Amino acid sequence: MYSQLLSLLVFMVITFVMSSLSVYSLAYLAIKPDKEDMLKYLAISAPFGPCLISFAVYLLMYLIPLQSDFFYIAAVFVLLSACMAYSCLNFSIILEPYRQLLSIYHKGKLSKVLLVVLILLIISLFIITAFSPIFANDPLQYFLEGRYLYLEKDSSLYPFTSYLTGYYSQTRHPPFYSVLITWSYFFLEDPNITLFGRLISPFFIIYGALIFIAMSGAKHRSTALLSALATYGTPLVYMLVSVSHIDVFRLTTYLASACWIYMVSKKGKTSIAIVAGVAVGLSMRVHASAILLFPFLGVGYLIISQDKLSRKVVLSLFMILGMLLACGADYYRNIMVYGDIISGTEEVLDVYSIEGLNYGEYIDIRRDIDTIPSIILNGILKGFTDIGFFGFAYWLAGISIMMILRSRKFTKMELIYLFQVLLFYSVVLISVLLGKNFIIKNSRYFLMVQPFVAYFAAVGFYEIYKKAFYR
Amino acid sequence: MRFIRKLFIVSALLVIVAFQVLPSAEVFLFRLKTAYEYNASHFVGILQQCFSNDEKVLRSKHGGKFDLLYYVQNHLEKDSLTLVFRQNDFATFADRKFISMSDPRLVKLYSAHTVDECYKELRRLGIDYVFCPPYDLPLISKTKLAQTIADINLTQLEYSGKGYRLYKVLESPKSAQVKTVFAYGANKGEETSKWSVWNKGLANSRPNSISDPKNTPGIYINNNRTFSAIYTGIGHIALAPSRIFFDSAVNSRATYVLKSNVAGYGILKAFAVFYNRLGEYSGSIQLMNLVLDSDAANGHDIFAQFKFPPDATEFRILYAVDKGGWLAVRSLKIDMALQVSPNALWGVSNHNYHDETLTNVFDHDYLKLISSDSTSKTIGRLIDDYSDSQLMSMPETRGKILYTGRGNIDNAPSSAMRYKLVAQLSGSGLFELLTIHYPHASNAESSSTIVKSHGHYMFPGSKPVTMETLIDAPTGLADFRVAFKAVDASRLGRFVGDIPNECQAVVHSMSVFKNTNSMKEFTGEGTPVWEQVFPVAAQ
Repeated sequence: MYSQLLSLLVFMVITFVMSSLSVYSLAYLAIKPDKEDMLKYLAISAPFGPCLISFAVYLLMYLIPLQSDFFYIAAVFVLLSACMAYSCLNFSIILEPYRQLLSIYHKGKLSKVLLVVLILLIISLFIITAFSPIFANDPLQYFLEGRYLYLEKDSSLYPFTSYLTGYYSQTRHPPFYSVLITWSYFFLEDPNITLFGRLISPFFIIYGALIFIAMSGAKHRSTALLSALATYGTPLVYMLVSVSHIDVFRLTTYLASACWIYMVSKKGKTSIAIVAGVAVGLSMRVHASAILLFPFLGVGYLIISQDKLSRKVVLSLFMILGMLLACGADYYRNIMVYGDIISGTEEVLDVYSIEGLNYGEYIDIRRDIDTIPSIILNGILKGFTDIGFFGFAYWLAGISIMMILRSRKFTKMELIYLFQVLLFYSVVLISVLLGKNFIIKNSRYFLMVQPFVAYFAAVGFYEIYKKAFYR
Repeated sequence: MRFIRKLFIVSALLVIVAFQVLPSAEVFLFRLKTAYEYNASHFVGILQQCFSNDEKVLRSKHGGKFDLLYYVQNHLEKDSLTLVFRQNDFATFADRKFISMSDPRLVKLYSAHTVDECYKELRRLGIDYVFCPPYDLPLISKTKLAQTIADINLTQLEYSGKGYRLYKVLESPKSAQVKTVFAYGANKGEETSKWSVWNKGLANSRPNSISDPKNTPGIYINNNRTFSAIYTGIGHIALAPSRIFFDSAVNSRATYVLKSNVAGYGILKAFAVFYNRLGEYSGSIQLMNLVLDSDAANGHDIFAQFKFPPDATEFRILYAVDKGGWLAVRSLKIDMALQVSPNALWGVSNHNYHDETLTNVFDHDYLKLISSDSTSKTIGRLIDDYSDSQLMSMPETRGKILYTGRGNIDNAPSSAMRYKLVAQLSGSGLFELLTIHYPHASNAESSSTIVKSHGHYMFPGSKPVTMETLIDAPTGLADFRVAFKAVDASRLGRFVGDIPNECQAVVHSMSVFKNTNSMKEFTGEGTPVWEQVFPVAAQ
């Protein structure tokens, strides 16, 4: 029992601390940012630490399969140490952002209260995920695939067809979460215990909160904490983290990618563009829906940045290069083997092409999106009507956008956030007009833009709060 | 003014925060409570609980599906192959081979055009069991698979719990003997008297249209985003239909088959609602949760196989349509097939079989022996479920008693004391059927008069209707009377609707028969021979 607890500690240190610092070191090496940007780069590189581990383990199990657990742990440890070497030698690149972080919170009553609430939220999720086994359908799928990959130690078996007792993979997107779970099993050596894998999801809330805090800086610390609370305290997000679903990874990496694009548009250096592309690519490995990420961010960047057009195009090309580096191989394989980039939905499977099945209409009636009013209210405007899942975030965000329009101009970051939301909804609208229901049928897909909506909701909340207490 | 403004803003902000926090807090507290209850009842250490993947935590809260998977894990043959429509649960919690529903090997199965073809394909693939969820899937209901797995000649319902069902595919088709216990087909002019309508909040009433505006034949209900249902039989849904339209009492060892043709749009939920010996609502079995799409406007066949729990005496079938839509029931047929299947357990989450009337007499729960063959298996399994490893040889051990023979423990096992009552009644209002049993004059030690209740029924209206029921007389009591007692309808509480408070009735005729054939004690097989004892034939 106690040796297992020790393994848990080592697992957490390697997966969340070492990997994040390694990614930050690599980013620092490539970019060499100014002193005041160091915290920002640390925050937006951190979520990609586990992504790097997942990618590395996947590649290792593909190229060098069938080795012992310890081999893979050691290989990843060596890799991360090599990346971290630079920051261990120049320790100031870690100390400086840490000092900046502490200086943000040494005063202010409201921000201290919000910080305590955020910490309570994170602790509550750790408690639930520690004590409850997995029972929801999709997480069971990820944990099963992680278990099977651990039993075989060969990732070329993915996606599974009739494996072991007959398991058949329903979705074929890149196995980010499953490989992370396999990685957790290396430390545990008993694939029937899911504890380590369950504890991965709440950590990403810490990453997300860090991103908000770093990007807002000292002046808007309350807004940052409110954004983090609004995003990860959204009832649907809280529930999904408590069942160890994949959405919190999507949310956080998408938010980080948006912030990377902001950094590119702020500074306009080639190195930042490449690293941003890599970040976007790693996000696209998390879930098949992130295929929508690239055009969104690309368009947003092109509109927001104030450089010359030729410079913007060059930087976009570098971003695409970085992205292909990270996720090109996976999607290339999807196209070659399945003829389809997104093989993540059930409908591409053979059995659903039987005539008379009428699967689309079945989903429409089940999810209550069959008539035009339902499509509008329950489908497109889901964020406004489904308060049990989304809370009042969308309503508050609408109010705050109107307030901002009246009183001041948008900052660059807010513009990028706003564009993500608008572009996402234009894709939703286009898909509905084309008669497809694959986005509006599931509330979880709408969580892709929840961080941005929550940011605006937090801004609005804070403005209203100030009106009550400070005038 | 500033204070009011501040108050308004603060309350608005609090409401917003509440909507954000309360659902999450509910999730947190509920999961913590489940974990705590499991820990407290099983005495595991906190750390041990975190490190376990124990589905027992889930069984205690979610029942149904996990009870079924527990059954699969413990009772299915090691080399069985199951067709699963919920792959991830099965793969994680049950260690048996399976075929997932989206496996491309099944394309031929789903494209089968006849039931025969479908069954042959199932056998060719080597599928022994089929695991179905409570909701429908197009892969089941839009292919011949739905009809195949509900066909009593081809499959056998092995386990059912909260709508999750496990069917065993028989190795070769057999011809089961079936008896039709209810039939309705929408021939033009067939009366709607076999059905009643239930709108939420309003009393039951007769359906007043036999066809919808489009002139689809059948019993029609329309739904405008409120709950709307129709059910068989007259009277309140809370009361048994008094066997007026059903051929016989529920046989809990039989499998029932439903075949129905409906037309409509929306989500159809079908239930079998059952009642206990006292005629009170006892529970319901979800038969299906089906999507009726635009194809179904011209008629759609639905099939189901189900079994009742041991304490069920009568039943109704209820069709409800939800969330906007309409439904026209064109035909409904319920067949009953007697299959003695030793493993057929009806999944109850409290694993407790008890005879209702006994709790009035004694304080203990009794486990009734329900099947004669594979007796030791039955006892073993029941004991497993109670975590009690000793055979119970002494009565009154820990409050649970296992006894031989059929019937109530206060009756002698010989069914010579079984009576049948047949009466023709008409009238209105609610009554209770009683029998009053008197001690034999020479038996000084026997107890005094016993009054037994045989349930609450509604008088059927002005047209006389035949009622038939069985009565077991307590041992040692020789003479009895039959009594009808008028009941105040308000005692039923929230289901009071149009049950009149006054009771007016006419008994047109009544006969009582005694069973003179002693039936096999252990299994209860054998045909009763009825000899009329009331009114006594003139000498």
